[in-house]
Formats: sequence, C-alpha cells, structure tokens
Amino acid sequence: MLKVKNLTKNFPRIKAVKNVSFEVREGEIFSLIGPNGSGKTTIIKMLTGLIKPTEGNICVNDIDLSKDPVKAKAQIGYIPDDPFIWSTITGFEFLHLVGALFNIKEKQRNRKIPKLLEIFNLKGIEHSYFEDYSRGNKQKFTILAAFLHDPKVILIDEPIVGLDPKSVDIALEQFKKFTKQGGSILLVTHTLRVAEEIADRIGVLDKGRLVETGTIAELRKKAELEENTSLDDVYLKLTE
Amino acid sequence: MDLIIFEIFKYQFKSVKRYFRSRGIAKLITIFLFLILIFGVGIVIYLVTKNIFVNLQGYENLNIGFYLFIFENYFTVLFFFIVASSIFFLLFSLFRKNKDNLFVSSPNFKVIPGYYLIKTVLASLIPHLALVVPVVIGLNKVFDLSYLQIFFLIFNLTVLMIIAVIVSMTVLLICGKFLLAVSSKNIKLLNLKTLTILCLSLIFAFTVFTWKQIVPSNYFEFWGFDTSATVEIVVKTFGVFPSHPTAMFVFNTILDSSRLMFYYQFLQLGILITLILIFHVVSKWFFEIWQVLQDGSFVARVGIKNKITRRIPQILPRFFKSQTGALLEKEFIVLKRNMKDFVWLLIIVGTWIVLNGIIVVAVRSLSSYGASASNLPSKVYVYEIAMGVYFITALVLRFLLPSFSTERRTAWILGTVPIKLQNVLYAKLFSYGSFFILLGLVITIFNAVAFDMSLLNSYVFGLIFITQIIAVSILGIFLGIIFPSFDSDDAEALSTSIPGLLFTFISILYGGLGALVYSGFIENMQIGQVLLFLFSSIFIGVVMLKSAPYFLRRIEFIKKLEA
Repeated sequence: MLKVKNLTKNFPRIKAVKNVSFEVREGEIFSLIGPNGSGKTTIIKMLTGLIKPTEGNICVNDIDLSKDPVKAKAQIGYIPDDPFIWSTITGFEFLHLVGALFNIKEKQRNRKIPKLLEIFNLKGIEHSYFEDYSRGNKQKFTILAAFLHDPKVILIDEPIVGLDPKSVDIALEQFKKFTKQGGSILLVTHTLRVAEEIADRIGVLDKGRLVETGTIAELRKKAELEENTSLDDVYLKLTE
Repeated sequence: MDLIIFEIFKYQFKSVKRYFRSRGIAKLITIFLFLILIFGVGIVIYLVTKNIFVNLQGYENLNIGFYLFIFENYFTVLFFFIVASSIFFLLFSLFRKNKDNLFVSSPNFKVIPGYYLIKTVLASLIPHLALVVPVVIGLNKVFDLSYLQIFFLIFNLTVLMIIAVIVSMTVLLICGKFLLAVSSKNIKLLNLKTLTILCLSLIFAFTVFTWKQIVPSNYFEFWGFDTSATVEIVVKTFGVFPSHPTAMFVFNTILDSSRLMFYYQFLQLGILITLILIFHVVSKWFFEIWQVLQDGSFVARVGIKNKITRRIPQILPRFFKSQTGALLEKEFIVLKRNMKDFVWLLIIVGTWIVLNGIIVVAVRSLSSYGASASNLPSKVYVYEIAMGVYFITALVLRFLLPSFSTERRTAWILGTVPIKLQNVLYAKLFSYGSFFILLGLVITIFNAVAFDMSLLNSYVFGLIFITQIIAVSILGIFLGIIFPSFDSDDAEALSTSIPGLLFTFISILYGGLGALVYSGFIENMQIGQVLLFLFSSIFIGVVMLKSAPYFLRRIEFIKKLEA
C-alpha cells in the first residue's frame, strides 16, 4: 500500500535521512521507532508531501507522490505530532474544512462528523475555538480529521502525546479497527509501549538510517536477546 | 524592582546579539534598508517643513501666529498617532495569552507594566525621531536656532512621546478596570474583544472631538488678524490637548523667547510627573486584568451551541461546497476573528479615509477663497493616486506578503490535502484582493464626487488605481512566495524582512509611476502612456501569477536547521 524506496533528505549541513526503504502492506501497522533526531518526523513529512525528498521514491496505493501529488494525497490521512490549527476556528469548522478539502460532499460531512465526535466524546465542545482546547482535545480533532475521508493509509507522528489514558486506549482501538478493514498505518513514535502494543512490524531508525526491520520476535533475534525481552531493551541494543 | 527591569533588558539585548549570529549580513542589510526608508521619510518631512516656513515667510501680511497654528496641528496629530498605535501595541502584547505566564507567576510580576511601558517608549523611539528630528532641522534651516535650542526642542518632543505612551498605558488599564468594575458574577464584560472595542470607541470619540475642535477654525481667516489675536484663537482651540505645551514651546523657541520657553518646558515636565504618578496607581490593576483576560485559554466551554459557527444564510452560496470555496471561507473566518489583524485593518483603512477627508476639506476651503476646484485638483488627483497606492502597499505588506509564511505551523493541513497549492494562492489573493479593490472603488467614487471630476478623468483615475491595486496585491503575494520566511509567526516581524522592504520600495515607485502617468493624462491627454502603463501592469501581473505555482511547489514549510 505504501512503498518507500531509497529515501534521502539533506538539509544544509545535515543529512537527516539516508537511503531509507520500506513497505507498509495492506491491513498492517508498521512502526518506525528511533531516538530524537533520528529522522522519523522528516520521513513522515516527506511521505505527506510537506517536504521534498532529495532523492528516492514514494508510492501510495501505486500512485507516485512526486508525479501525481493530488491523487496520492487523496489516499492519505495524516495525524501530526504538533496539532497546531488556526486558533480562531472551531473544531466543528475544522472537520468541515478538512472534509471539503478532501472533496467530501456537505451532506455526507453532516452525517459523518457527529458520529466521529462521539468516538472521543467531543460533543458539546465542538463549537469552541481551537485556542480554548487542551492539547489532548486538539489532538483528538486531528485524529478524527484523518479518518474523515476514509483514507487507504494513515500516517501518524507521535499518536498519544497529550492524550489521557482512556483516550489513548480509544485511539489505539480505532487504529486497529482501521487496519482490520484493510487500511494501512505508518506509526512514528518514540513511545515504545505503543509500538509494542499495536505494530505488526517495526523499523528501527538511527542517525537517519533504517538499521533493522521486522516483527518484534525478529528484532529480538537480530539483537540476540531472549524471547521475553522488552522492546526498550531491543531498541537500546540495536541503536547502541 | 528596578534592577529586575534592568536584567530583563540585558537579556533582551543578548537575544538581539543572538539574532545576528545566523544570516547576520542579510539581517544587517534589512536594517540598513529599513534605515534608508526611515531616512527617506525624514528627508520628505524636512523638505515639507522647510518649504512651508520659507513660503510663509514670503507673505508680507501673514502674522506669525499662523506658525503656532501649524505647530499645534502637527503635534496634535503626532500625539494622537503615538497614543493610538501604543494602545494597540500594548493591547496585543500586554495581555497576550500564554505569553508572560512565567513572568506573571514570578514574585516580580509587578514590574510588568513598567517593563512594557519602557519597551513601548523604546519601540516608538525610531519612528518618533524620524518624524521629529527632520522638523527640528527644517526649523533650524529657516529660523537659525542655537545648539541649546535644538537640544531642548528634541528633548521636549521626546518628552511629548513619553507622555503619549504613558497616556496610552493609563487609558488601557483604566478601560480594563472599568470593564471589570461593571461586570457581575454572571455577566463577564472584560475580554479582549470588549477592551478593544472600548479603546477603539475612545479613539474614535477623540478623533471626532479633535475634528470638531479644529476644522471649524477657518485657516485663512488668520491672514486678516494680528499676531496676538491669532495666538488667542489658536490657544483657545488647542489648549485642551496635551500637545499644547509642546507647540507653545516650539513657537516661543522660534520667537527666541527664553522665559516662555522654560515656562512651557516646566509645564510639560509637570504633566509628565503627574502622569507618572497616575500610572503608578493604575498599574496596580494590571494583575487582575491580566488574570481575567487569560480566561478561556485552557478549557473549552462545554455547552456552547451554534453561536459562533458559520451562519451564512441558505440563499447565499455555501463556500464549503468546493475546495476553493472552503479555502476562501477559511481566510474570511481567520481574518474576521483575529482581533489584532482586524484592528490593523481598521487603523490603516481609517487613516486613509481620514487623510482623504482632510484633503477634501482643505481643497474645498481653498476653493471658497477663490481657488477654483477645477484648477486645483489636477495635482490633488495625482497625489490621491500616490497616497492610495501607499496605503494599499501598507495593507498588502501586512496581510498578503506574509500570508504563506504565517502558514508554517498550519501547513500540515494545507500541504497534506489533495489540492493544488495555487488554489490556496487564489483564495488568499481573492479574499484580500477583492476587499482592496472594493476600497479602491469607494475611494475613486468619493474623489470623483468630492472634486467634481469629469467622467473621463474619473474613469481613467479608477482604471489606473484599480489596476495598481491588483498589481501591487499580486506583487506582494508573489514576493512572499519567492522569499518565504519561517523565522517568525508574527506577520509584523515578517513584514520588516528584506522581501518586505523590497516590496515596499517597488510598489511605492510603481505608485509614483502611476501618478506620473495620470498627471500626463490630465495635463496633456497622453492616452498612449496610460494604455502602455495598464498593459504592462497586466502583463507583469499575469507573468507573476503564472510562475507563482512553480515557486509554491518549492516551499518547504519548515524552519531550516542551521546547526
């Protein structure tokens, strides 16, 4: 569903991402983990089309992002790490705006949005301005916006920052449900508990390079660690 | 307490030094260009001051009391502008949400009003000197002042500026306290919106009062009076304004009357000390006003129904039906609800309309003294075009030029949805541009009616002016796309960047060119020049619009790492 080949990004004086390749299959949650500055967010920003790769190729549902960005973006939902939204629009307006930008008809939006609001129990605050929301509530609206247009792939950058424990469970449940229905998720995080809990496969990034990929069991094997070792230890071993 | 303020400014000085560490040369060039711009304004003010008084000295029958009238007018306007701009600067910096949390939660929170007062004085210093020093130099050229007089003139005018800033801060805090006092447990009247509206109302009331006080005086009556009679009328008219002692000081300086000079200097210092004492009392209200104005920034209000959502009547097209429509509606919503931007818009447009009104009154006043309205306006029309483009430049500089750069943190929304980025460009251009064109049409019709312009003249005036508005809007957004800046989210800071200054230079020159072309048309009917100007403007505008998407696709909405 999502194919990334030889992805490289050079900033002035910094090589942020070096020749990274991976694939996220249909119905799969693939998680990229790595320390701060390992290139996780840069990769996800290239996948969303926010920044241009220096080299490499990105295909979403067999559509080349660089050749047909409009068609490719229509397949993607994106949940950013910093849910920054125009401070004086309301959560309700934000969902309508995103829906309209994804060409969803108003009738359809009017039907879908109330249902989405119920997921995180946001009914009652949807007409307040974004500047009045807590960080967690802002994050919830961005999660809902990503599901609005029934995407094929969801790209998630740090999914649980600012969410309370109950909302974390709800969010993770939604992600699992989405993949069960055939969607694919790329999850970028350094909260290893989340990756361990929901990812089917994991990629370990270090200093811009993808050092290993595989299921947790495969990674443990590559790290030459015992069967019940936690992902934290596997990660530390692979990135040392 | 004073030491704390000193420490804060020391820290700020260090942050300025840090600011120049990266891309120092580019930033120094920006400051250099900015200083050139200020120098240019200074030169114009100097020439106007010198020419006014040299010309006035040429009139044998004119009594020198008329000089006082000019000083009073200039310093009243200057004082008013400093008060108005300081109020808005303070309104949107003193109470900004989540900004001074650390500062307010420290035991030194009481120094905040004093700190902002000094900051506003320092921020006003450069524009103030640009408006004041050239006047003093111009007066020196005509009246041959001594060094001591020059020093005291600059000192006096600087004290006037400090008085204006203290008045602004005091008015703001009094307004805040008033709204707090009239609030009850159930009805909360103090919020940023009501405070802004109250301040705007006060400024509007002061404008109306000043207008009523000054405009009925017939400028040209003074010709027939003697000096003391003129001074008496002027003092009666302007005596109520805080700038009056300054005007009297300047007037007595050119008369070389040291005794009265010192009298008015001491009077002004007395006003300053009184105001400082009043400020000391009202600054104690700051903390509770700040606290109330932070309300609502942490918790969304449950239970708000459809009060603040879109309420477009069903018969009107629903913008949200299409992608471009959605983008348009977003631009309108964001502008309409951003108090700071909205007030900026009001200030620029309001100043433009007031200046236009003054010109109309002056021209009509001159007409009543025999200068025919059909003889005078050729220069007035030309001036109106140049002035109009200047104001449009200010609007574009503030709203369109930084409009892509300010999307840095929200780019994840616009950059990840399946739209062509040029649609965002068209939405921004259309939402602001259509408003600017509407303004241009209103000004054109207003001028055509006020000056009894012929149909052909007003048609060509409108054609040149509206074309310039469109071209300047396209130029502004185009330069903002070619040179995006992600150093700041603040549109004001982004406006004073190199592209901002480049845009200002180009569009002011372009405004001058348009005025020149129009002048050629009304004096010699040079229609060819008009057509050439219009077609080349349209051609360049189209080229910019067509190439903008190429540059748009190259923008990466991130702050470049420079480690």
